[in-house]
Amino acid sequence: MLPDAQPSAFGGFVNESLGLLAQESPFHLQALAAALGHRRITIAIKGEPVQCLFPGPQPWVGSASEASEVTVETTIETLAGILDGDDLLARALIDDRLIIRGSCDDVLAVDDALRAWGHGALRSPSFSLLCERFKSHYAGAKHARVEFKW
Amino acid sequence: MRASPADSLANEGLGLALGRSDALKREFGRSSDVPSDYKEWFHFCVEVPGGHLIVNFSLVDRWGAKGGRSEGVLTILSTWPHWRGVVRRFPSDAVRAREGELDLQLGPHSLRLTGGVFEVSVDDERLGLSLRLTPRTWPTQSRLRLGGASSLEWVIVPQLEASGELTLGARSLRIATARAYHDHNWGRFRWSADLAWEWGFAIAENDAEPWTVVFSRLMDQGGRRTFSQGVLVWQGPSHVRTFHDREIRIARSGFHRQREALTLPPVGAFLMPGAASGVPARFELEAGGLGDDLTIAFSPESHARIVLPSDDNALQLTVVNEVVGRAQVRGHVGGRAFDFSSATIMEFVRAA
Repeated sequence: MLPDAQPSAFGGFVNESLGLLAQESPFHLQALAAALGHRRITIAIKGEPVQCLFPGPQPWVGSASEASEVTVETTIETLAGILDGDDLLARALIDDRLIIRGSCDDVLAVDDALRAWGHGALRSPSFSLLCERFKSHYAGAKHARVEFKW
Repeated sequence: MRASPADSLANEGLGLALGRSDALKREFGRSSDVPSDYKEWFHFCVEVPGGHLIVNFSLVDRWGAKGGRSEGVLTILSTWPHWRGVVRRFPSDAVRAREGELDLQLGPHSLRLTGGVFEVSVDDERLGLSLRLTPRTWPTQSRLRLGGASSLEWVIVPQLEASGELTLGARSLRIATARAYHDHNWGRFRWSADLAWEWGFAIAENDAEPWTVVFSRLMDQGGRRTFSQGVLVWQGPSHVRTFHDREIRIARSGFHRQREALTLPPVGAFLMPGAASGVPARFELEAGGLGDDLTIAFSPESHARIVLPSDDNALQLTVVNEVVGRAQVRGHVGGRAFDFSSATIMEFVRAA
């Protein structure tokens, strides 16, 4: 049984972005769930590991409690750069600013899931506002260095 | 010295003509209960000191799992001091738009036509823009075939005079008597793998040579089939010639390359990493017929990308490449010769 979801600020962002897909582009949430299948993915940003999985049609997002098929480690600066289009996922991988661990099949499945998420985010009118709220949250923190487009 | 529109055009007549051609053509959000692919937009390009500015107010119907949805979209791109931009989307309750007039409000941003003058006001985070755009030519309307039953109505006001101010963060740029271009488009069509276009304009930089040229080509994705193409020529305020489909030949060569490209909205860069555009390194157009001739040679310098969702495929995109560069235009129309070079913008649209 899954523990209660207790998302951190980052977990809240993941949760809300999946909720947006459910509301505004459900096809892409289904595509994301189909790509992930049974897999658990853990994303760790500044020591806050957030786990995501699809026990059913709806996602579960919370603190990492069990081993994951795929883990992602990065920083808020790198994540914000990728979300802002100023950084590339591939470049962050090559530079070891973003590390993905998992079997090849599992990592490719997560890549498919991320692409489905991106297509859904592009089609969700509210996504850019969510992104800006997320960046504002971290821009206020001393450890973060997040810049806006303008 | 430039003649002002008030001097050179019958202002009242121009205001009346614009009031008709640039009025919103359909009630916003009318068909939210049936699938609709209606799109209508107002596009402006302004040559500002040291760069270009693109302003686009769009009203779009989208069809999704939960039915129809109409929204307003504001897109701003500036090459001053380097490519920057923003795309803002507004749900229907944040949009004010009435059929039969141009008095558009998208959130805090507005576009109005008052007394034959366009007024643009943008008040965004770290971006402010106020513009007054006064036409220097009469509007011209065309219908562009897009393949199948789809078509796009296209009203062009190819030369305006723009004044105002652009503010980006702490920097401000005063815009005074700048050359500008405007068009108004509306129709029912779908962004899909079967639609691509090339479009551009060139305004003579020398006021003594008041020529303006606008061209478009609409085609399928591979460019194997051209649905329609045309080149329109103005001398001063008057539209003097249109070269039609078979009078035009277009040649593309090489590929324009740049290391990085601004891509908007930002999640578009996640989906399309890098700067690939499909924009040629050189674009050449030749037109001729009935004793008239024209050549346009365009060399891209840099581009930015606007990524749009495909209307037909949930995992496909359409990319609008906005490309700045120089156009060399030469020709003869009605026995009069022209030969000018112009800093300008071209648009290359393709599926991805």
